[in-house]
Amino acid sequence: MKRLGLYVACVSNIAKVMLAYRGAFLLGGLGSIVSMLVLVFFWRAVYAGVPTVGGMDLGEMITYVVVAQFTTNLVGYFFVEGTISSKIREGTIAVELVQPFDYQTKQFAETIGFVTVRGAIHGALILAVGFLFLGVRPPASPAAALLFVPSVLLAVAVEASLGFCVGMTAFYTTNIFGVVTTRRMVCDLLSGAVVPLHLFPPPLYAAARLLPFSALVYVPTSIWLGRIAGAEALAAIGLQAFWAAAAWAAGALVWRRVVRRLEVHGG
Amino acid sequence: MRTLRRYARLYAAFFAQSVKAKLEYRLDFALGIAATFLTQAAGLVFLGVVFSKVPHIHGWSLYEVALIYGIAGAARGLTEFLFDNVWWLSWVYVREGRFDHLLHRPVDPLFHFIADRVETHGLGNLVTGLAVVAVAWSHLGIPVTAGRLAFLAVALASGACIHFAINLAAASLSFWLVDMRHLIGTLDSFSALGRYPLVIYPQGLQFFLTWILPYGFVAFFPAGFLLDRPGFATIGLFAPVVAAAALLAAAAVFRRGLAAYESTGS
Repeated sequence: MKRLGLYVACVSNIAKVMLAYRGAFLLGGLGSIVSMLVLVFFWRAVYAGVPTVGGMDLGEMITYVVVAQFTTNLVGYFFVEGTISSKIREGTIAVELVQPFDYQTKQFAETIGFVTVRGAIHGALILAVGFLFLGVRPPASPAAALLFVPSVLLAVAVEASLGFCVGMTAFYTTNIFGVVTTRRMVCDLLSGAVVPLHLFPPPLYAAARLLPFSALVYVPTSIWLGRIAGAEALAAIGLQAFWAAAAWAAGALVWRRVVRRLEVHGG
Repeated sequence: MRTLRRYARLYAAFFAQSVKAKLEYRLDFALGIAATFLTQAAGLVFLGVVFSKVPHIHGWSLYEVALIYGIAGAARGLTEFLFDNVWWLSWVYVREGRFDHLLHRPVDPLFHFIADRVETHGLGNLVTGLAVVAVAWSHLGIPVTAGRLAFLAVALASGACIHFAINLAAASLSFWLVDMRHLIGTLDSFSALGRYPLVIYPQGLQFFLTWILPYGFVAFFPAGFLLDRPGFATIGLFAPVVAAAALLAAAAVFRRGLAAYESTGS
């Protein structure tokens, strides 16, 4: 029970650090909004020529872009890998080994804190801009709104676990910029953050649905739009949960190996 | 003249040193190149998917848009390759006080910290961008003339300078407001606006991208010249002028910041 208190402390701690840099933090939110606007302007120009694309009208596409941006932002790439990489570079990773709790869980708690603050502030900004200026539509149905919440939470969990695994590669290479950027680009493409996955050729779409990346953005966004609904939505959420668990297990495995290696070398 | 030669030799020495250090991490080098290739590829996939649904956007076809995208990527790669140290100004140099040792050297501080670090992953963007330009160029049937190639080279150099100038001005804010890390992502997003035809943006934004943060001169206007687009055929020729103006403005901001930094007696 005391451990739970420690984890909660981690969550609030990082939230405090982030809020201390309020100005810089808000500025970061501006970047997300600008990225989103690029896509919005782009799609508006596209729809000037056609009424629908991939079975979606302009309003639906704009909603996709905004909700996808919200989800992408919430999910927060780089945070986990960046943190792990810094700790290794600064040598403070050794501190984690002597702590009375599991580092993977502690990192997860910190990630939750980070994501919560980011979601609350940047996410709210994104949705506000979307609803006020871009004509974003609300969730397709009460069921959609209800299912969106666990889907998004699981997306965060999948990302945190995946990020931890990728972060572990920092123990095997000095500068993980290349690995992280590759991971990010693969995620951007296959998560649905850049373009709705159902616009891909059918075989690619089918494959993408099975991979963990679509769990990050496409699934929650499609649930919001009502494109994935009912039993299919429940199945998709189940798959998200599976990937979160699988990535967690993989991360735990690698971490145990790393710890053993560090201890052998006198870390 | 002697000073110029001395600086050139110093730069070459720093450059070689930095590249050597980078190549020692061969895996990172390869991964960095691959990563930047994937970054542009992601953008191209997006364009490919969109243009598979529509033949053109506001009169611009896939290859014309790809030309802009490629030029933007190449210019960005050039700036990353040569000028990435600008970001380290903020959190390493100022925050950790590493800037102080530079102030005691008998070399101009601005020159020194730029030369101190070369980002080889910028090569990835540069090469990929050029490849995209080449493919689009040939597909569009643009004549390959010495004049046009020279223009492209000048446009890329100007584009890199514009990127650098904007980044430098932003990073110089760290002399006053220490933590500028979040600004990088924001600027990156703004620069992304310059990767697509400006005509898809509202008039106000087009003005902003032409006269305030001149990302329009990095890729769109040069492409307009190469494509001989009515209305955009000649403005691209002013890219070097805009680049020079931007550099002067940014250098001024940097020197102001440096003066403020020195005067606080850190």
